[in-house]
Amino acid sequence: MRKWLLWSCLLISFSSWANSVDKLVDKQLAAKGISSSPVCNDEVFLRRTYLVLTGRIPSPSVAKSFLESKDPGKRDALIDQLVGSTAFVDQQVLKWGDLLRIKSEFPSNLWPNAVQAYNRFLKEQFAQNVPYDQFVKNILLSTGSNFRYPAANFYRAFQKRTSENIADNVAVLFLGARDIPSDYTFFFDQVKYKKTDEWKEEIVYIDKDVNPKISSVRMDDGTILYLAKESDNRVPFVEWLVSTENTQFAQVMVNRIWYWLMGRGIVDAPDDFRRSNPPSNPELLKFLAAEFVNNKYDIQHIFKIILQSKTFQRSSKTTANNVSDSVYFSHYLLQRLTAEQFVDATGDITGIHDKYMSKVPEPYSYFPEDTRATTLGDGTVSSSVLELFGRPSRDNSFEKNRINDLNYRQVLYLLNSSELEQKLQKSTILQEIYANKADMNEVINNVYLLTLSRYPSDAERKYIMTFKKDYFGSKSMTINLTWALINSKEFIFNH
Amino acid sequence: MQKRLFFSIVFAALLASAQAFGAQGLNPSAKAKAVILLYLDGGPAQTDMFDPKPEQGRNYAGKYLQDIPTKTPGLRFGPKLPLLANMSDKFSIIRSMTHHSGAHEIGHYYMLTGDMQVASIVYPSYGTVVAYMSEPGYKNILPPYISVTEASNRFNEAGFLSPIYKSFDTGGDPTRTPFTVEGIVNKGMTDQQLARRRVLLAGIDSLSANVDVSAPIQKLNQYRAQNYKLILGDARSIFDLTKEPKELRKAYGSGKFGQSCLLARRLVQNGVKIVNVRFTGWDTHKEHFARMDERLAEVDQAVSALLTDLDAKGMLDSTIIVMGGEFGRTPKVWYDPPWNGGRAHFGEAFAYMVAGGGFKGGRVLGKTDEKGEKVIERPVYPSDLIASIYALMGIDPKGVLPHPVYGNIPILPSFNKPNQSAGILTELF
Repeated sequence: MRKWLLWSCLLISFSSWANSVDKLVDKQLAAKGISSSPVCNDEVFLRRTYLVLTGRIPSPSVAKSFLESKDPGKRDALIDQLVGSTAFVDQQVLKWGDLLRIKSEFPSNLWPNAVQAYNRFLKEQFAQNVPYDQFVKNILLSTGSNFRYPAANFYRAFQKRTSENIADNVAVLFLGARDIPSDYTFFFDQVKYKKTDEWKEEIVYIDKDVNPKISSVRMDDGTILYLAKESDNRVPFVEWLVSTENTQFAQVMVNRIWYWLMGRGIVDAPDDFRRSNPPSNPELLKFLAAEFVNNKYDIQHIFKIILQSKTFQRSSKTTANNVSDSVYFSHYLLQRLTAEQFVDATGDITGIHDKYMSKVPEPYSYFPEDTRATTLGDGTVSSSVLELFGRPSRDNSFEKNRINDLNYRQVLYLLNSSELEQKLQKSTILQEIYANKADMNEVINNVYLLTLSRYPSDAERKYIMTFKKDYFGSKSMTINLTWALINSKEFIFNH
Repeated sequence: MQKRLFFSIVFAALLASAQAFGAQGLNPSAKAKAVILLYLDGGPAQTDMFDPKPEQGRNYAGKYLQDIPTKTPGLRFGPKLPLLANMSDKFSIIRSMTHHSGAHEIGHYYMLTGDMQVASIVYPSYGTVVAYMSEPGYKNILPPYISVTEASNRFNEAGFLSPIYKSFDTGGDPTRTPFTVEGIVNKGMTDQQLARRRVLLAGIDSLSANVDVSAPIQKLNQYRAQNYKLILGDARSIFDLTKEPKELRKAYGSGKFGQSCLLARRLVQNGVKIVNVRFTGWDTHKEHFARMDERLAEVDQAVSALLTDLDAKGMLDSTIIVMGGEFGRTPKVWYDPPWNGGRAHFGEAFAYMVAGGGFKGGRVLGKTDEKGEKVIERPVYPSDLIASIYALMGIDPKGVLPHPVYGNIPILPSFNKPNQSAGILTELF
C-alpha cells in the first residue's frame, strides 16, 4: 500500500496527466496522418469549460476577470474551482437523473417525494465525491423505504419490475452493454416490494427465502459466481462488477465522462460496448480506465485530467487536413447547447427563468421562481421549450436519449419566439444596460459579455455601429443585439 | 426509354416491398387524409354524455336525471348535448372503451399509444406515428402534427421515435387577437423589425470561415432560410382566425375550445395531418356537475359546429374526428366529503365519439351494464381504436416502426392480443 502511494506521488511529480492523454491522442493522429487544431483562446476555453462542467454560461463578471487575468495557470485554476463546485454537482445529478430515469410518473412512476429523496441522495454522493465503485454499490445493494433509503428507488423505476428489466438496466448503465447473458438476471430474483401505511411509501427488500433458479453463474470473463438461499444474491454480482479485474466497469465510466466533455465517446455510443464496436483509441481508453482504478475510482480526477489536456482545449476551428475527422479528437466538436443549458442561459441573460409546476399529485405544486431547468430533477416536470430542445424523456437509460441534433423547429423558436421576446422585453438586466446608453461602446460590450462571455471584436463593433442611425443606444437596439447574439452560431453551439 | 421503364419497375417493386415491411408512408388511396383529436384531458364522465343511466336515479345520474333523444332511433344522450343529439347521424359512439386503469398517466399512455404491454419500451403516440408516417411526400410548410395549444407532458409522446415528430405546440390563446403562435406569430413584431434583426444577425454571425462550412452550421443556415419563409409567408394567416366569417366564429363558441376547434379545421384544410385540440380540466372530483354544465355546453356547441362546418366544406369524409379522454369517470356519484358530489377516475367502461374519414355516423358500438360499471358487449381497447384510425389513414396496423436500438418492432404491440384488443372497428366502417 505504502509502495503504491510512493509510486503515485512520484508519478504525479514527474509527469503530467494531461500529457498522457495528449500523447495517446497525438500518437494516433500522427499514425493516421491527421493534424490537430491549435489550442483554443481564453474566451472559448472559459465558455466551453463552464458549459460542460456546470451547464451554465459564465456571468459577465466571471468572464471579465478571467479574460483580464494574466495568471499563466488560470486555466488549471478554473478547472480546479469548477470541478466539485455546487453547479458541477447539480450537473452530475442531472446526468445521473437521466441515466437512472428519475421521473414521478410514466414510465418510472417514482412519485414526487421519492424523486426528491433520490435527487438528494445523488447530490450527497457527488458533493462528497464518493468513489465510483462505492456509488454503484450504494445503488445496487440498496434496500428499504423509497423515502428514507432513496437509492432503493433504483429498483422501483421500472414500469414492469422484473429481474430481466433490472439486469438489462444494470448492463446498460454499468457495463455499457445492450444485451447480457440471461443468467445475469438470476442475481436479482430476490428483489421484492411492499407497501406501507404511509401514502406512496414502498419498501424494497430482499426475499432470502427465494430459491435461486441456478446455483452458479459463469460470468463473461470466466469467473464463477455462486448463488444461495438465505443470502443476498446481488452481493456476489456487485462485487464482481466493481472489482478492479472487471476492466469494462471502469472503461464504461471514463468513456462516459469523455463523452460528456468531448461530445463523442472513445466508444460511441457510450452504452454500446461490444466487440464489433471497438474504441476509436483503445490505448487512450485503457489509460483512462487504469487511471481511474489506480486513483480509487475518483470521478473528479478523471474530469480533471481530461480537462487539463490540450485535446480538450483544442479549437473547434478545423484545418484543411482534419476537417473530415470526427472520431479521433483532432479538434473540438460543435455541440448544440442542451435543452437545459439553453433555457438556463436565456434565464441568466434576461434574469427571467421559466416557471415550472408539477401536476402530480393534485393540488398542483409550483417550483420557486428562480428554479433552473438543470435542477428540476424530475422528468415529469417539463415545458414546451425543454421538450423542443431535446430534453431526454428518461424513458430509457441510453445516453442518446438526449438528442442534441439541431432541428428546424428549434431555429424557428430562436428566430421568432414570443416567450423569448417577452423575456427580452421585460428583462431588468437589459434595462440596466440600456439605461446607461450614453456610451454606445459600453452597451455593446455589456451585451457581448452577458450573452457570449467575451468582448466584441473591432469588426463586430464597427458593424453594429452602422445601425446607430436607426436606434442608437435605445431599448430596441439593446434587445435586438441580444436577440441576434442568442441566435448566433457562437451561442447555439458550444464550440 | 426502356432503361427508364426498367428502373421505374424496379423502383415500384422496391417501394412495394418497403411498404410491405412497414416503411414510412401513407397509402395514398386511404379514405382519411387527416385526424382531429378532441382530447378531453382529465377524463370526461361518459354517463353524463354519451351513455346516460337516468333510471339509476340520483346516486348515479346526479342532477342529470332526464336524458334526451337523438336523431338516431333508440339512442339517447345526457341532457347537456342537445345540438349533438340533433345531428347524431354524423358521428358514432363507442360505449365500451376499456383499459382497466384509473391512473392518469397510465390512461394517457394507453389511450394515446394503444400499447398495454408496457414492456421496457415506451411507444409513440398515434399523433407522432401519423406525423412520422406522413413524412415522405409531406410538402406542407406547417409541421404535420400540431397541438392546440399544448400537448401533455405526462408521458413522452415521441416514444422511441425522433422528437421531431412530436406535436408542434402553438402556445398562446386562440381567443385573443392576435393569436400568438410560438415561432410563427410573435405579438407586436413587425415585418420591418424582423428584417432589421435578420440583417443585424447576418453581420455578426461568423464562428470562422472554416467552421461555417461544417454540416451542423450548413443545417442552421438552411433552417433559418426555411423558417423566414414560414414566418414572413402565408403560415401566419393560417393561424389568423379573424379571416373567418364572424358568424362562423360565433357558431363555434367564443371560448378557447370552440376557437381551437375552428383553428383545427383551418390547419387540416391547409394540409396538417393531425391536430390535437387538448381541452383540460375534466378531472372533476369535486364540483362535478357545475363544471360539467359549463364544459358540456362548450363541447356541444364547438363539436356540432365543427362537424357541420367540415360537412359543409366537403371535408368530413376525409377527416377523422375522435373525442374522448384518458378514461371515464365513476358512474356512481361520490356524495361523501371531501368530494361532495364528484366523480372519480374510471377505466373499466367509458365512451368515445368518432366521426368522418371513413367512420360511419349514427351508430353505437358496445354496451355497458345497467349501471354503466362494466362492458357487457363488444369491448373496445385503445389499440382497436388506434388500429382503426391507422387503417383509415392508410397505415398498416400490423406494420412496424423502427426502434433505434432494437430495430423494427410492431407499430401496435397490443393489437390482436387477448385482453388488450378485440379487433378493428369494422362495425363503424
